[in-house]
Amino acid sequence: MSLPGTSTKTMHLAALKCAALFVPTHQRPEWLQEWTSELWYVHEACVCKCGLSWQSEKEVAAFCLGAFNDAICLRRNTPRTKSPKPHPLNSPAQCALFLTILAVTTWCLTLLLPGVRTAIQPTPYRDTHNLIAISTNGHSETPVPTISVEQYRFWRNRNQHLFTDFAFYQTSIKLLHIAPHHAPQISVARTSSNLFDLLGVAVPFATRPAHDAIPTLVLSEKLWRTTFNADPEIIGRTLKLGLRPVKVVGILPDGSWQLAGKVDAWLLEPDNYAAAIPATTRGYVIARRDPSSSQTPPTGTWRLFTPQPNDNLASFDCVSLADHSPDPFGIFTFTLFLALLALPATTSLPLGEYPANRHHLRWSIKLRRWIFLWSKLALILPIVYFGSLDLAHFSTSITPEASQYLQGISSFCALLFAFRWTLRDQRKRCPVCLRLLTNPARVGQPSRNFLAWNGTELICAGGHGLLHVPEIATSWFGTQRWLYLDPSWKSLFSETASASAGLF
Amino acid sequence: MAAETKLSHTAALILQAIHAGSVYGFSIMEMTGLPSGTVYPALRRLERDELIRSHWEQQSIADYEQRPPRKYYKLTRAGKTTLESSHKRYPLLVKLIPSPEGEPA
Repeated sequence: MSLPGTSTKTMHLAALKCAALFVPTHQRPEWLQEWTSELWYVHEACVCKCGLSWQSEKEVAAFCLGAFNDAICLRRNTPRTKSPKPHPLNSPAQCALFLTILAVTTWCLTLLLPGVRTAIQPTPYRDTHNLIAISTNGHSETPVPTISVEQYRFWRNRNQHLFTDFAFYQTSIKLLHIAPHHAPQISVARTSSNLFDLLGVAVPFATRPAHDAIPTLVLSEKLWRTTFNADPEIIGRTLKLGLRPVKVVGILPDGSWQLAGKVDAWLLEPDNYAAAIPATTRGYVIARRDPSSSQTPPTGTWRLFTPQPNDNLASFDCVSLADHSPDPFGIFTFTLFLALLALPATTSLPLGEYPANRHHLRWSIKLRRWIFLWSKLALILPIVYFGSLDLAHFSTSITPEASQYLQGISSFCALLFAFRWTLRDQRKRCPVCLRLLTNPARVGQPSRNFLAWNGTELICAGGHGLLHVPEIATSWFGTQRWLYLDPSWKSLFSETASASAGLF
Repeated sequence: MAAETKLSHTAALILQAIHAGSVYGFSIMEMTGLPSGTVYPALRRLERDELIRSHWEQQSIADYEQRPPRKYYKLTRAGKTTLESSHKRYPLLVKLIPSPEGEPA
């Protein structure tokens, strides 16, 4: 049994190239050249001796495996000449630039992702304070149809003091027959013909169906693009929805539907068709509150007691669409409040003790430190806001309820982490040059804590001072303490680093 | 490198193989029976310790014979001295790989 020679040669060469990755860069070309050359001779010798067989392949493979050992030994024995890389956020400018790039990136993503754009744009409905979603008692938060058609008809036919108009819709799954053997399942909202007028949404080309005319169908932009390839000729065509012919009359732009239920198309029926809906069918009801009503419009969820068709009183939950639609900024503000409450449990809030400097730090240096801290905090807010929005709405298949939870949880976690990082980062920086402190050294023994202290000492590479961080907070050493170094230390540090802050 | 450098048996074997005329990696493997994962790292160490030195064969010679150029290894003066002292430590080394005729090991 044998393998084709060319493919095995390629595999052996690939193995050598993989092994070459372990070799230090400056030695790699010559190392690879030697092994490739030797492989040629090994291959010639083994194939000539044994023919192309598993035995010869085994010998060549064993030779190639030795390359890994050689490469690893070479790496171990090569002295390291490079100094360790500085921290990428070492300087305040690098840190601010990194946060700015992050903020711009998340903002750009917000503009690019269609789901996020829809979430942050203002509501497409007119006068949302007077548009009321009505549901049975206790169901205002759950997106399930609760109002019977009988109740809806009862309200419409009754003299109203509080509401001027009602609209009804009910969702169901139906087959849309586009062509022979092509009938996708879509979610259809069977609506009263006044729904879009009530909401104040203008549907391009759509007209109310005339009495006795066939029902009209409004497609969602997503369905129009995916199923009809954005064909403008679809307007005016008659299709079959389930067993009934319907006329396509318009396209509803993405983001125009923010009510309960996922809908691909809306079926607007003439009144005589709507009258045929069974009385027990349940759906959603939207009502317009009379703006001239003397009562002030309540906010949030409020209770409405109204008679039922059987003359019994029943209570219903009413929510204005202004309060009904999720407010991403409101969720963010709430999580910001929660994160600020939880922050002291994750890290200490003080930035440390910074004694008055005998060398009189310039006020601009002191101010710069505070500006840096507030800049970081200010940049974190848009990063988390846009980042959590991007995460919650990156896919249009996520339901609005799930998006809210996702935004809330991600926003809270990110804010808590970001605030904690900001404080810890600020504490690890030199108050003079704002660079990250280096060379941490453990000092003291825990057993001597009551006589002295034990903890970690960090030093500024510019020679501005030392930071003492206690291992255990005590009454005499409760928080980290900064010690300014006087000019006699200057000679130990590089000129450039010292000059950068202008202390000496 | 000091003349009295003590080599491991494997390193001495490889040094003896080079002295005997196996002057490139694969021939050293064939002569000593050692695997590639032992021979090549040992060659690097011997070269680092200046007991051997390497040079690439001329490209024109390899092109003429239609094969890739080889990297050849050769004992240095220090390498020869170390090998001589290794013979006293490992007397069977010369019996395993005889030195070329007319040349003292």
